[in-house]
Amino acid sequence: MKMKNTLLLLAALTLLVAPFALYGSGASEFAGTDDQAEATIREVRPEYQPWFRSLFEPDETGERRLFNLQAVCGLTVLGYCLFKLRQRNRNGNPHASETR
Amino acid sequence: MHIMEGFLPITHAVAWTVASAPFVAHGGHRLNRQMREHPQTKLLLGAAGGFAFILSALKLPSLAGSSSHPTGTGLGAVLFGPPVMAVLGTIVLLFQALLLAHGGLTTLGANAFSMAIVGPWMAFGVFKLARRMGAGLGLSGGLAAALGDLSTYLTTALQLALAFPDAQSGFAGSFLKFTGVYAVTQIPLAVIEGLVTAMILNLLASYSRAELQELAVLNR
Repeated sequence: MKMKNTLLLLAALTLLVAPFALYGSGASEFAGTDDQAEATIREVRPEYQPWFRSLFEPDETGERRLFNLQAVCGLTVLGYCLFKLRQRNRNGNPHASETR
Repeated sequence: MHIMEGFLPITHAVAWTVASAPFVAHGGHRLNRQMREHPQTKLLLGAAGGFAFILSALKLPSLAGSSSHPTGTGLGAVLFGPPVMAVLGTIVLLFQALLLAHGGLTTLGANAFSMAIVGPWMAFGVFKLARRMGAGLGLSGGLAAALGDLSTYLTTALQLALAFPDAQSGFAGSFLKFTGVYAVTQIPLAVIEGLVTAMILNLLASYSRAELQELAVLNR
């Protein structure tokens, strides 16, 4: 399992850094597809007016921080649950290491 | 895949909300039953929720020269079934609509339909099929997550094309345009999502074998 996961991790990391290798540090400033879709809507239907606005809209730094906060919350919960699961399975089930 | 606040005409916004609501309600019911009948799987549910929270918060640059979000819903769909993910996915979307101005309340129904319903059902179907064909847990889960991710974005393109058909080329032309926006960016990200989901499933197979058996994801 360790070997398999190391390979999977390497493959994922390669795909993650490939854009930076290709486009340099500008890759972190890429336009998001959500915004591109909005631009496409304006192109297809220039007269369309959004009829509702977000109640709360953070500025760019705030948005980045809140996204990071979301990721950190998720990571904390995931980490805690994995840790607890591992502990429980170790204590209760000594043969819990095989895949498939 | 977040359709921005106010960017669906009212009729479409209402229709997608009506379409999503029963799935989410049914999911809530299933989630309650799951917790009552299999309380020992709560930690696993926490892990699946945390995973979806992390992945949907990442805005990743793609090889295509633009950036987008993975969805993170494939893992939970494989473990707990699509109805449970209808609830977890909608919670994530609500959080992002209210605090991050990503997506919106008026588009919550449409976004839930693509990310919390179509994506998880696609993932679940692919997983079952791959397992039946003899693929291992990691490979099946990885394929499921990657295709679930792509199906979410295709659904968004479909929703936008329905709402904004092109003046000349109509629905089909518009669908191609929106698919063009998403597909190229999303393919490498879907592969990343598949790889990471496979990793987590491999980890769970050794850390949490008893719970996976309890959920009938692995045979006893």
